[in-house]
Amino acid sequence: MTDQTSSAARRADLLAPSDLAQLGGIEFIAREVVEGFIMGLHRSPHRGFSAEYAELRAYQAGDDLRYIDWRMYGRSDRYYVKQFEEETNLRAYLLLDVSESMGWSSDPDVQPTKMWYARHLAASLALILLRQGDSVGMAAFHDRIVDRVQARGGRRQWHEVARRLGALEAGGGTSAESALRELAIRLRRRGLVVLLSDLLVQREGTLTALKFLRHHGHEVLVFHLIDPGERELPPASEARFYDPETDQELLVSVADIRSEYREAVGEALAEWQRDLRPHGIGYEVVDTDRPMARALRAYLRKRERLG
Amino acid sequence: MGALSPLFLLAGAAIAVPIWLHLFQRHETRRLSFPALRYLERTEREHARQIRLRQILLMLARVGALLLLVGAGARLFFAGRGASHPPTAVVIVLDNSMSSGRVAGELRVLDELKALALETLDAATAEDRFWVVRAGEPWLPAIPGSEAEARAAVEATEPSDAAGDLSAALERAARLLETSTLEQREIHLLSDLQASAFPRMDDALGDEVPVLVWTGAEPATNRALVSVTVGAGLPPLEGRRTEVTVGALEATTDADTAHVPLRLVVNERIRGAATLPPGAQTTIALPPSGSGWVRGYADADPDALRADDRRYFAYRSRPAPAVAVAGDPGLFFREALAVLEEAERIRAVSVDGADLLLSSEGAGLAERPSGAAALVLPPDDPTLLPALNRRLADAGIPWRVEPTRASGESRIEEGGPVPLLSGVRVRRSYGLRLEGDPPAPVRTLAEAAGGPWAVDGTDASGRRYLLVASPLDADGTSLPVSTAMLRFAEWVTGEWSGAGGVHMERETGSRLPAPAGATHVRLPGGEEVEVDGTRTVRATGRAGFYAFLAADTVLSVAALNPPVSESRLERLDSDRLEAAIGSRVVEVGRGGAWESAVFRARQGPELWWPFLLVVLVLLAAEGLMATSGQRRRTASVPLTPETVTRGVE
Repeated sequence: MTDQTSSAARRADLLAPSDLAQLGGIEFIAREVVEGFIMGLHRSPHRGFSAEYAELRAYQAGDDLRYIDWRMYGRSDRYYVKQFEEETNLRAYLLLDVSESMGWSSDPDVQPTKMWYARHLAASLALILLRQGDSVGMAAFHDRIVDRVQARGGRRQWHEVARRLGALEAGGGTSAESALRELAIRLRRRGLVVLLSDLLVQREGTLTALKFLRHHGHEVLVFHLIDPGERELPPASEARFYDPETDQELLVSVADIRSEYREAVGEALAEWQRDLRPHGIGYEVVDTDRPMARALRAYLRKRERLG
Repeated sequence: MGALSPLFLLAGAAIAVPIWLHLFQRHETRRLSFPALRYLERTEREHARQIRLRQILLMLARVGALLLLVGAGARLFFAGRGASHPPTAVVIVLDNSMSSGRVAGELRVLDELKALALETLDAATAEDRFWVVRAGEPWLPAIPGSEAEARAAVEATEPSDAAGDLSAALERAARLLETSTLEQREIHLLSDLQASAFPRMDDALGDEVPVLVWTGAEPATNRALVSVTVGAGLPPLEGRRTEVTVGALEATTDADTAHVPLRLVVNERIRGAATLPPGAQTTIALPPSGSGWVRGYADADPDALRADDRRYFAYRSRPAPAVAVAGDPGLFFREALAVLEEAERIRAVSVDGADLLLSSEGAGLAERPSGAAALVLPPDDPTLLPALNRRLADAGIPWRVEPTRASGESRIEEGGPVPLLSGVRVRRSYGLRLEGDPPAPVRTLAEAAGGPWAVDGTDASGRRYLLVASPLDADGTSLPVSTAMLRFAEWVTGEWSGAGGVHMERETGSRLPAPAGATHVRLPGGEEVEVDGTRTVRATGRAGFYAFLAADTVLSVAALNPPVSESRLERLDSDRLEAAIGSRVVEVGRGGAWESAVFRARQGPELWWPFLLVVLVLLAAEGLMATSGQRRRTASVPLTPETVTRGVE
């Protein structure tokens, strides 16, 4: 019991993001999170997940003759096709919203920004995907796509993804629709698209774009990042709120609308869920003050459905 | 409703704070970065009315709580029955005039009024201050003091036989209240509200002091004797028959036709009886009597108001006075004396045997016998005034008659001691000037043109004199050519001969002039009161005989009767009541309302504790309003990340 407790206490995926942020760089944190997460699954972290395992399969008409394993042909007199490392079961694309609002934290001294959370969650997901033998690509966008990593497998890919994620900064407005449509066009092969965003976007356009991705055969999982300060208004009686993206202002009597605001946020989240679910789009609300294990588990469930 | 700490009400201005905050608090606010602005917009859009309503309710709750706190701090209280009241100065005007002796049911009206006064006193506190003004005895001082002293005064009050002047009593009450340092003041008027008790309809009190008026007295009818006249107004003479005329009160309604049976009692013997219809008079002849004072009364069958069922009279039966004339008093006066002599009302005698000397220009003054009075008439010719003044001085009469520069006609002023002279026009008169210190007090019987016109007194030898300022001819005054001339001559010869004594209608409570030489007056109850230097006696409120005495000798007897106005029981209605008293009349009828009506600033239970209770309720409600949305939403829409995740699954 004590071992389990101390073990759980060491698991980075169960640490609060504010504590997690103290640990180190993105690669270290992501690795720790993933290690902890996999340990929590009660299986060997290396069995069946090795990225080094290369599979041979029986030749099928249409396969590229360049990939026939002639050595196996010599031994078995049958054609087998080599499955290379990048030729995995799943292509995953991690789409990060890096708009100005993602760089916001309700308590900058303690609470990491949504951007921080998204980066580390994306890195963790990428590590898990790559360990599963999947290929992982990444794109960051606000008004436009600001960075993109082609989907590939292998350890090097993760370092690349992590490096690129670590370099991302929040800025600019959000035009998720155009960015997502552009990505849909570029992603020729069907795969898993994971969107990490605070969804403070133009709603209808974003919905359309997500449906568009789904229409192109992608599995779509949306992580809706939300800061605790967005769920609950700050303890002020009166405040003039402004949107850092648009600089639009609103004078609000916080005390008077606190409960109504909470209700409105809940309704907005429920609407996202209600609008995405019928289209088979996964939707997960991720509170940025919660451990990442919850989001990873949601991914895992999605991944298991995909086989 | 009142407040024990009214200054605290100023703190009520604090309600401006929540109102100001509600209206203007948005002027100074923090500016916060907040990306989820769309949620705020959505909130405001969807809940604008609800938010507004809640804001208003919250503001009202806060304002209400503040006001209630202020009210509690100011120690507000309700006016209410049975509760305490702030210290109050109260004048109880208790109408004990004759009409209050009427028996209504089993009680006299006054007893009911006293019971109401005692109800007031039962509700009093030690801090209250009371005066009891007895309206039926206005000559008595008001009785100030505590509740106990007022209670004693009320309980000792009995019906008077005098009239009540409630207008004067209320003005007197208002003046008494002005002397009080207490803020709360009231006048309690306990009366049968007889209309005749309000001689003036001049809004006596205005709106200065609240006047609680009991209006519960029932209207009533009355039968009464209202007049007694002896000898048609002339003094009865010794050995001559005379007559007594008695009048009954007029009916107040057409249905009131009941006759009044009466008996005439003279010197304790019934001398006649009659039955009078309302408003009528009857005359009963009396047999000749010897010399001396005669006392009697007309007595009607008793009714609810007993005091006016008997009417007293007194007169002196005497021989015709001996009158001498010196000098020429003028044609008119000579003729008047001739008429009186022919009617045997006087006897013409020489100066040395006269009871009364009629002296023109001072003639005969020195020769008149001791005990003989003198009427001194001035000469028509002013050049004869020095001679007159010498004679006056020789006779010890301390007056000088002087020419005056006054011209034009004047009138003898009303209200003098000699009513028959009132209104007489004076065309020519001399000035009367008192010379030196008079040996005895002098009286001015009539005034004209601002000076004395008729004076009387006693000369150095103790002889009475009457000095007038005009010759009694047509050029001097209007008296000789009027019907009053004969009465004047009769009055002079009767009054100044020492043989006066005609019955005069006098009212209870009036002032009685003491005859010369009187040292005491015997009141109707038998007690004797000394005559003081004012030479007048304030009659008590009791009807009956007032006998003026010199040692044991009866000098004169006056019969006092209740004012006729007191027998007229017509009540004042509400409109006239307000016109007579003022706008702050509070009418209180029967039904136990008096006790709850008195002490207008009555302090009910203090409201601070229910106010604080309501404040707590308001604050709780305010807290509930501020947090109700949160709890409601938490219970009905558990939108947590877990829920959303399960929805995805």
